[in-house]
Amino acid sequence: MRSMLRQFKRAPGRIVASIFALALAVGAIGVLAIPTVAGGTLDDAIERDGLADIVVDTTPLEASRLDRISRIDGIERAEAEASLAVQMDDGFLTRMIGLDFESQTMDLLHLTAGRFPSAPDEVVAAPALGAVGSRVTANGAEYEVVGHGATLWWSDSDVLYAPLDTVTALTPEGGTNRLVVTAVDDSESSLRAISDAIRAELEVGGDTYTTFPILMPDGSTPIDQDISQVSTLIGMLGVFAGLVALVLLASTTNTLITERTREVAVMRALGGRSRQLRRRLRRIALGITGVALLIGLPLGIAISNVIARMVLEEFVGITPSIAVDWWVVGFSAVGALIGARLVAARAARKVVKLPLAEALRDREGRPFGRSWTHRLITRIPTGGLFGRLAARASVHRPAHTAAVVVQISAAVGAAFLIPSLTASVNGFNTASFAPWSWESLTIASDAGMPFDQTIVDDRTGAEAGVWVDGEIEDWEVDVYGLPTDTEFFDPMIGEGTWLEPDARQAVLSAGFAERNSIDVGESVTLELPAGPTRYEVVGVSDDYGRAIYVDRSVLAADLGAPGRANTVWSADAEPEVDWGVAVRSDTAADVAADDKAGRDAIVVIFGAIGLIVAGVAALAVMSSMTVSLYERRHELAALQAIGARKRRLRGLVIRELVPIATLGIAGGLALGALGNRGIIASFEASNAIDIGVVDAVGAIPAIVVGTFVALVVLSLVIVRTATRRPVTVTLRSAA
Amino acid sequence: MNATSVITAATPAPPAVDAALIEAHDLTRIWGKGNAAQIGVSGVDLTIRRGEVVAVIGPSGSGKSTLGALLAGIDRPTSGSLVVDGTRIDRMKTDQLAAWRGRHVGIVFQDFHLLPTLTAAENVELAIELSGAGAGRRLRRTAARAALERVGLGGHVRKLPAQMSGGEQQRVGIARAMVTQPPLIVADEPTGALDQANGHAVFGLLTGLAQGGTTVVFITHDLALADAADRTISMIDGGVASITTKAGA
Repeated sequence: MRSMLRQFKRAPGRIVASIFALALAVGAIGVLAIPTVAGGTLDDAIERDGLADIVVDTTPLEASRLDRISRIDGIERAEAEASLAVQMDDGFLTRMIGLDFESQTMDLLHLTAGRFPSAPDEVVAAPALGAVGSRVTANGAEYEVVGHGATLWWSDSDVLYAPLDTVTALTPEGGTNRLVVTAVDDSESSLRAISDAIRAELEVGGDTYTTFPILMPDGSTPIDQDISQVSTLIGMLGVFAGLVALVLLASTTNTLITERTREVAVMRALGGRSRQLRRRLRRIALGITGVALLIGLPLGIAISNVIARMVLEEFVGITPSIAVDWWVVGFSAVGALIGARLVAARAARKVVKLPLAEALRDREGRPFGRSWTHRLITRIPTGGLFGRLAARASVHRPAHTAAVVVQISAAVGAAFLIPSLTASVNGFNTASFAPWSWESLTIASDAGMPFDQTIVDDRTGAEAGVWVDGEIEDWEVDVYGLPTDTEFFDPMIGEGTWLEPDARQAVLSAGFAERNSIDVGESVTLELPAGPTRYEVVGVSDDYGRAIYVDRSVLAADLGAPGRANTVWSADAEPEVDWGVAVRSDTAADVAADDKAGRDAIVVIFGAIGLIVAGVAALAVMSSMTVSLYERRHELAALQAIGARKRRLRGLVIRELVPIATLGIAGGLALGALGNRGIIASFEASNAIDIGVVDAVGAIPAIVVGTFVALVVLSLVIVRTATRRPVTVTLRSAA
Repeated sequence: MNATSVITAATPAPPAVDAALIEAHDLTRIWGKGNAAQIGVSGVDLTIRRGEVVAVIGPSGSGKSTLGALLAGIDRPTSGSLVVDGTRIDRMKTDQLAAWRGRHVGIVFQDFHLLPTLTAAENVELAIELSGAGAGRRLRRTAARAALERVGLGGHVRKLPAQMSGGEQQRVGIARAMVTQPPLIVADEPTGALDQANGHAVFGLLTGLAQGGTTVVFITHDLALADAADRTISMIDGGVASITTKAGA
């Protein structure tokens, strides 16, 4: 401890800088904890709120039907709920969820204020809908808000929760219209079997599923896929951050040891044994790393929690409490200590092995001119004297040069990766919308097929059709039932043909078909809410989606609602139609704005991680540059002594940096482009879709200029610091 | 016209040999403040003529190196005035002083302070470039070679410092100091890191420069070398204890 304090007193600025650099390196590893921290919070919420294993909308169920469903093999418990689209008096369209607050065991309402409803006209609301004690109007009826709260299922929406009887009385057909089930065995195969059994039981009584059943095997949630994709991305960036952190850790530790070369040489001259000295050097490095861990670990926990909170608030709508991934904490601590130990051991061996006379005499590190690379570079014409000084300085310290190139590459890579990912996502979204040309999209708010397919036949520029969820080869797909002569969808057929009227034909998204090896001419099984059905694939569409397009009449019949529809596409932004039921109408501009908001949130999250990576890398560059110039302060002082002005010294440093920065930038751009491709490829594989890679070429000039400007500013600051002391003082300190 | 003369032509013609080159008045250098103050030199009054060889001697900590650094312009006094070659340098800013050094002073260090990545010739060339002599690259190269020839290193022009002995490195240092033919050369223990034979050779080179009108101030512990100087300044506790002038100087 005393030895540590002595080290600190000797060079407090440099020790603090090293500790800070190492702490940030350790902190950056905290990015790896984000998925676990987010997942842990979700698991807690699932446990607390009793999330079901199967959730599905149904036609209204009688109590006896629910009772029979409860007795199906493998079902632990089945409960009924009610869900109804309602419009608030300010026009806001939301849902009223009917729950049996007394006896329900699933979808438990988690109160944050007030109490549970005890009267038919009492509701619990999301805070945005009204204060506790206030009265709200939904579908023209008044309700008193008696509490604030949410269930995990509806946590990302502002909804009302009312007693089950209140909502069942309001549903168009009366009765419960939503089924939640827990199973004894929650494996995927078990849940599929149970879902099929429930569907069969419903058919007996003339009931049916009105939406595709959502299965949540092994304690998963419906947003797991979203979370998992974001986590994958974060994990990749986390690995990147971790690698950069390791470089920073290695370079800082290496410097801590190397700068003690002369001190060690003096100790050796006085009789210090190699093993003893190496141990002492390792202890110094480990001591500083230990102090850095005290700062870095809480920093990493803070980073992971802040970003996990951003992810969960954006994708789930819940605010997590502080969580810690002890595996990542342990890995960071052990990794940093082992890394510091290994790097310190190597550096210490090198320092102790230097010939004693040379180590005592030479203050410029390894003598220049003893290796063939040194001799070679002295024979290569590299400009004027300062050009030669610059080029040879880089060759003189190859490890340092390589480290700075890698560090600049990491910073530039992160800076290029983030806009490139954004550009790729933007490109994908644009491509996804490209086939569609409607101005408004109107969808029935409640499940079911409430419209006749002829509802807009009397007007031009509008089409009714079907849009439901389905499954092909265990992939969730958008199922579109369109008029075969649709005006609003350009199928962009890449291979095969478009649909013929009234035929059991389908067109699939090209990327999805390719990734599932489904060829034109083959038949495909489509799982619909009403059960499985088969279509012949007659063509593939270059639509960048995961969709299947079929004739609307055929699809409506397969859904058990011949001639019916649930969606209307229109060329009019505000179609004046008497819908007869609650609907949600969005204009193309609304959809684009929602889409942009979602993308912006993702960009903010990735931007934050990118900033951490770039920040760690920039700090690493700064640390390496400062150390390098600190080591060469005598050389700079000697130059000053023989007449070099600061301008010359700045020029020298900048000349040294230009090739290093050029290499670093080139490497970084390549790294960013590769990272973009890797991440997009992983997304394409995990989603079975085409996304397409777009490199943010437009960002390159800003990145290049920004990097050079940052390096020039850094050089100016460093030269200013290195030349602050009188020349004679610096030169004398060398002696 | 040879290369050396090109460099010479860039410097003004030297005034009369007996004119004062250095005039120091109440020269003081103190580091730190209050109780932590450390006196380098204090109240030094000194005049050194052109072409004079002056030795500065004294025990360790007497302030001789500090005086040498002040005269060479690599440090600035805390107070007092210092005029060198007609220019008051104690009030110059860092960069002005650097430019002035390049043109007016050659410095020889005990530890040589050669640039380790430059060859002998390039180290010498660098001094020409920094002096602002304005010579082209070829002329600079030729002048550097000529300077190295003068110090007996004609065959070492392409060697790097790490490939030379201490005596050879110090001779490169002298070539670097004299190549621009400055009016003043300050040498801080130039023979301190050398054996006796090399030390005498280096000292011979330095005193030889004085014959061409260059003022040489050298700091030394070696009283035998000091005896060869025109004047010897003896320092104790930051002040001048005595000045001895050689008979006939």
